[in-house]
Amino acid sequence: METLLPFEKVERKTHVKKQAETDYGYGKKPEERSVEELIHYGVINLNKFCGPSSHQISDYVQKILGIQKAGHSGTLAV
Amino acid sequence: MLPIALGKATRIVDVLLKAGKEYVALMHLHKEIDENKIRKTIEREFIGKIQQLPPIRSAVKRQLRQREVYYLEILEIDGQEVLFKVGCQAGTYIRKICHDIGLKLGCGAHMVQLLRTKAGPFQYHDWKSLHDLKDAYEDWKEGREEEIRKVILPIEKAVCHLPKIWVLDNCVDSLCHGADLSIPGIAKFNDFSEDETIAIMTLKDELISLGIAVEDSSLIMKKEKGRIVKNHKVFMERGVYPKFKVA
Repeated sequence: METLLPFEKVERKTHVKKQAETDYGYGKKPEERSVEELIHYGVINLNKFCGPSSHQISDYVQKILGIQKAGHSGTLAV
Repeated sequence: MLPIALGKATRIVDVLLKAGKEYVALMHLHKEIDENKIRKTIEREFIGKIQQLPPIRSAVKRQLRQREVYYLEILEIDGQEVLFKVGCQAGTYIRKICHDIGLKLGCGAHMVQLLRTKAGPFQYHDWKSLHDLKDAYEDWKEGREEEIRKVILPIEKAVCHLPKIWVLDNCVDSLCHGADLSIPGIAKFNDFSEDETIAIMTLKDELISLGIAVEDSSLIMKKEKGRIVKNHKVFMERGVYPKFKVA
């Protein structure tokens, strides 16, 4: 059986409307961000088994990284 | 699994709440039932559009609603235990699916265990534990950053399942100020339809904002002006790109 979610089946083509360059004096590619920047502006694909609630896990993450804010994508919709 | 968004990225979780999910669930049937009957019932009644009444303890209003089950694959049947993998629309209650399968089979059933294996673009095979995070953080404090870069990913990872529009440098800052996106600012785009959530990106592949398409993408090639995306949630800070000055 094919087990793909709808978006995983879509092959996204990119169309060009206007040929354009970007100025490297501004912004930066995501992979060039520093670790500090990632800690305040990143995502973690965390595994979660039984035990602590999603809320507690966000708390642990905040404590480990020393940040004020972290959000989770909802309790397991059971 | 539980995708976590950090600091200024926190609001990106909304996009994951709305994304498709995959779970592996263990269901216990209250009586032993012929395997063929289980398979046929699930195939006929529980794949595609289903009607579901949210459970008593749930976050949403308790009324019958339609949800789509994209696939449901039985991994193993052992006596009264059925292990299955299910891909479904956001907001589908798996506990309820188990209960309803039990009703259809006439034997009753309940969910014993549940594991989320996909949430939008996040998959179980590259997930990390809290221990991984702690170790990686300690490593980084000691000057090694290889591990933490594997654990903490750029916010852009959370939108890689969405259709995108890449915009010209000179319209980035106005988007950061909340302006909507019109055709003259567009450099490249994926196909999308009206009402879809779109990730608006710079030409360096940075996420600027999320928006809702007010037109079909086919219009972009046909016209030279007009609003295409209603800006909805801005992530990039103002001032990263210069204000566009009209010459």
